[in-house]
Amino acid sequence: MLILLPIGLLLVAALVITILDRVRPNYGTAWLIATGVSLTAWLAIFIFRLWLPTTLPVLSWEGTELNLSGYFSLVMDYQSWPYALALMTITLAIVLTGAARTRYDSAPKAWAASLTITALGLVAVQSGTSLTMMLAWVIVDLFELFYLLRLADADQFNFRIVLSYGVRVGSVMMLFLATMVGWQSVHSFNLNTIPQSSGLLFLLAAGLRLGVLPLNLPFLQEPVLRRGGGNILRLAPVASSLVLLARLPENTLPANLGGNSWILFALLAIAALYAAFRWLAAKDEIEGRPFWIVGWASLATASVLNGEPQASIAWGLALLLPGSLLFLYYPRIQRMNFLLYFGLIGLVGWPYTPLSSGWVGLVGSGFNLWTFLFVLAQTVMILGYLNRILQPGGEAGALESWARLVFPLGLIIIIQTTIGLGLIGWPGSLTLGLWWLPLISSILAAAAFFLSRRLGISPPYLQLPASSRLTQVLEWATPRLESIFRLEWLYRALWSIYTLLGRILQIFSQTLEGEGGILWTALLLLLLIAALARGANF
Amino acid sequence: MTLNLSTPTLWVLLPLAAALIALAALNRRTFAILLTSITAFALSILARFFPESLVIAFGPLTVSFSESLGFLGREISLRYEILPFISMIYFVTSLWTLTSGIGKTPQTFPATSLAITALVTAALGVAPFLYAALLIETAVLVSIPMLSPLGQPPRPGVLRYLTLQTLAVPFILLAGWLLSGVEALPPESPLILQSALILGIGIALWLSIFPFHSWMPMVDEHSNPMVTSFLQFMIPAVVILFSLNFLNRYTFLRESPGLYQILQICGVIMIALGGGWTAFQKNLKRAFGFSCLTETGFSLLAIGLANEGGLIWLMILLPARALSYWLWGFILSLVEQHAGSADLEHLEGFARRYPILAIGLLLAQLSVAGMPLLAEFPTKITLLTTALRSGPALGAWGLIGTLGLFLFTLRLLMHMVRPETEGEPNPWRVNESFLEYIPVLAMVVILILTGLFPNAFLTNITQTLTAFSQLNPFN
Repeated sequence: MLILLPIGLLLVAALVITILDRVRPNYGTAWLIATGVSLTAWLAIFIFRLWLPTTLPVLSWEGTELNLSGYFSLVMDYQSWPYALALMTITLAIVLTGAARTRYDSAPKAWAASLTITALGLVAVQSGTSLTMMLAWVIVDLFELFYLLRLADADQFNFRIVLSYGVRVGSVMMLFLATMVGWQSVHSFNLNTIPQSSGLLFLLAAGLRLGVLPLNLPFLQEPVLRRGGGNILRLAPVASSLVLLARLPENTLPANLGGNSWILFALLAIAALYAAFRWLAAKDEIEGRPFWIVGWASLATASVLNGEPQASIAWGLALLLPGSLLFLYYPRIQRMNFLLYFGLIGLVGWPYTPLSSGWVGLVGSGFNLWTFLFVLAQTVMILGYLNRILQPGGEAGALESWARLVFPLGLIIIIQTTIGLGLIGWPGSLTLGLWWLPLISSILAAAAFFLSRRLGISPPYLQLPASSRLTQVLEWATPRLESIFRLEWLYRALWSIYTLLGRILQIFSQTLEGEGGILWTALLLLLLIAALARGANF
Repeated sequence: MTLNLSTPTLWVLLPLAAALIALAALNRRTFAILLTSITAFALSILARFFPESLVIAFGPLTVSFSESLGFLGREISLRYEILPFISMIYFVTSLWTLTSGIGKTPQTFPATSLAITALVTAALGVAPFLYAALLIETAVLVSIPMLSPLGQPPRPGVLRYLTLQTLAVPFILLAGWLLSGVEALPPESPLILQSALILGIGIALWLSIFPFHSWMPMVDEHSNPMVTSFLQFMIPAVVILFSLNFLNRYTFLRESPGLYQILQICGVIMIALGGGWTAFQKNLKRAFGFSCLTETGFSLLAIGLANEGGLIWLMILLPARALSYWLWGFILSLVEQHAGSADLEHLEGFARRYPILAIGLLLAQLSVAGMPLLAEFPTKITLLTTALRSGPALGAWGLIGTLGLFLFTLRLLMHMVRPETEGEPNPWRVNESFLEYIPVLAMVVILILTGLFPNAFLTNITQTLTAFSQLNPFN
């Protein structure tokens, strides 16, 4: 039952803050409640490390006369615990750093929303069965949909929000299909024993949700929420997909896929490289956030394809924690810029750092072209991160005195958790790893960095001079390449098929509903009888 | 003191009488609504808790019920085993009648719907059971004034509805006559196939199975959604239960593997076509009509999977479907009232003006689509899993068909959230009245609870299957 404690605490706190905000609005009280509860929940999850793995059966539909399949359970194990802790850390950091963003998007309503999303995200992350995960995904998606729609005014964002929801529904349906297929092999399996027959479908469900398989980016511009609540709203669904990756079987790719597995690797490599370069070129971290997510998620997904699902955790945590360090670092304060360098601990993958256990996921059975491309993507992601670090900050004097204290605390807790997870996150998290890969990556990153300076690309923005020939070439090529890499052409083709199918069905329907409908009905009936009488034996 | 009554008196004659009174008091709408909904609800509760001994004691008064009632030389027999189903249909009738005061719901609706429920209840127990065809036809005829108000020329959809439903009756009667002699025939006799075919056509006409479905979107487009949602739940539900009689009675049908195969194929065709058509609709009411085709498909699929336990899933789909249909119909009526039309292009910004109705509509559609968390999900995932086991194509097409309603829901959402005037502030505001949003919220909660705890909410209805001794999966 202890599993439910953080979830319950967060939900109750969200409710209390919402009621308080309506009845007697008090910023300080609401902040204290949010902080106190987040800290308690964080500690509860942290202490839970001593009791791994723990399963809590929640509800079962089986064993009754209704003859239904499926049951619900929550699991805290070595796959879910790191993500649960990361999610809770981000929430705590949101509330703490929120003290410095009172002029922007930090308000009791946003904290209540953050706590609710985190609670739902924790349910999703700790899902023990596919039914539990489906349920959690649906609730998170509906919450996000209604929350974003309530905030968005512009039609362009409404369209994007609904489109994003459509992709999420697609991932739920894929999970639905994966569950159906899985149940054919093993009746009522849990997520730790996903049958190999449905592994690929589970992978596609997670990949679709993460935006990597196939590449899809409904939100290229953040509609309303940017920091704080916006961060957890973006990352909670991502965490619940990442944990699914970590639970997939080692032989996720079916044997009959044979030599065609390169298609999946190619799609992932495209997603990883495209996202990495867009992250590097993004104007700021919020504009680059969708690419940050896709970039790291691609590497996590590649680990599963290479038969190392456990390695995906390291990549997933790189996405969540150092990413949040950057996204929550607002307002920027020059004297605190150094804190961002600690984020590199979670990104570079040097031996005995949190990411060191992830490299094996990129190599799989041996170093190949795909490994090289994935390492290249990781290098570009780091360059992009460096680019963000180098941006100048403002003065601390703009903050209130208490905010000056808690704002860095929020960032430090992320750094501490990153380091902590590297040490005790899961068996094998503290490892030498494949030391030569981070060496290659770091050399590449350093070379690129210094080369850029030589080429006159001036920091802090690592942007080419507007007059350079390379800039003109890139300006011409980027939109063209982008439409290819973002697979918009594929989606447009699918849309055309959809429209064509719609027209055919429409004509069919109009014919049956028209004046001669009864005659058509009779004709179709005769055809059907003939077909059925031939196909079935009485 | 002992009073002797019969179950048909209680569940057929009494509601018919109440319906007549309500019809007589047509101008007193509140009275009619209260009378019919209270009657229906009381009958539902009574059926739910009726003692198996058929004896109820009120102090010194003992009321003893017999199961049969003679009527015009025929007999209506409502057995204890069928009471869970009767309880369910009276409960949903009370739900529809209680909320029939909204929008432009015809004034005759409360009385007519109660009468229809009484008639179909009689159809469930009439002996010889072929007379059920006449009672169902009567129910169809009774429904016509609600679909085509007096003084207005009948629309083509209503005429087609009447034509196709009436056409079913001679087929069913002819099949009944043929089947009575079939049992003695050798299995290779061509008469067996012929009688099965005629029976199949009759039931297909009743259930509006493709290609007899064309009246559904036509009628739905121009009729009140409360009426159509009620009819499209009630008549197919009773026809399906009535059809089980044939399977129960005739061994050659029950033991024919080909029949189950055909039912599975027909079911999946209905799901796929219904879903496909739904996905491309531009009118909410037509989309509802096509979604009903999908639901009929699921019923057929469940019967086709009878040997794997499909009949239980058939039964538990019914209450979940009824609740979803009611919510859909209720909200559609309000949408039409507030937006003036059910065309998608007229619903721009609707969600911003009526957010609770919009959420309710979304969830009603998603419930019918089988979305996790909502009422129909537990059954549909089990049903589709079993279909997939039976044949990969069945499972795959079944799932593709369910996607249709999801796609339509997304299209609807895009229209509903789009601001009416681009560039101007279009804030979200709750404009629904208390009486509009309370039923919606309550039903959403019920749909979620049913989706989470199907064992608690849906088990009772499966007892109906004990009435079919040869099909009973609990044997």
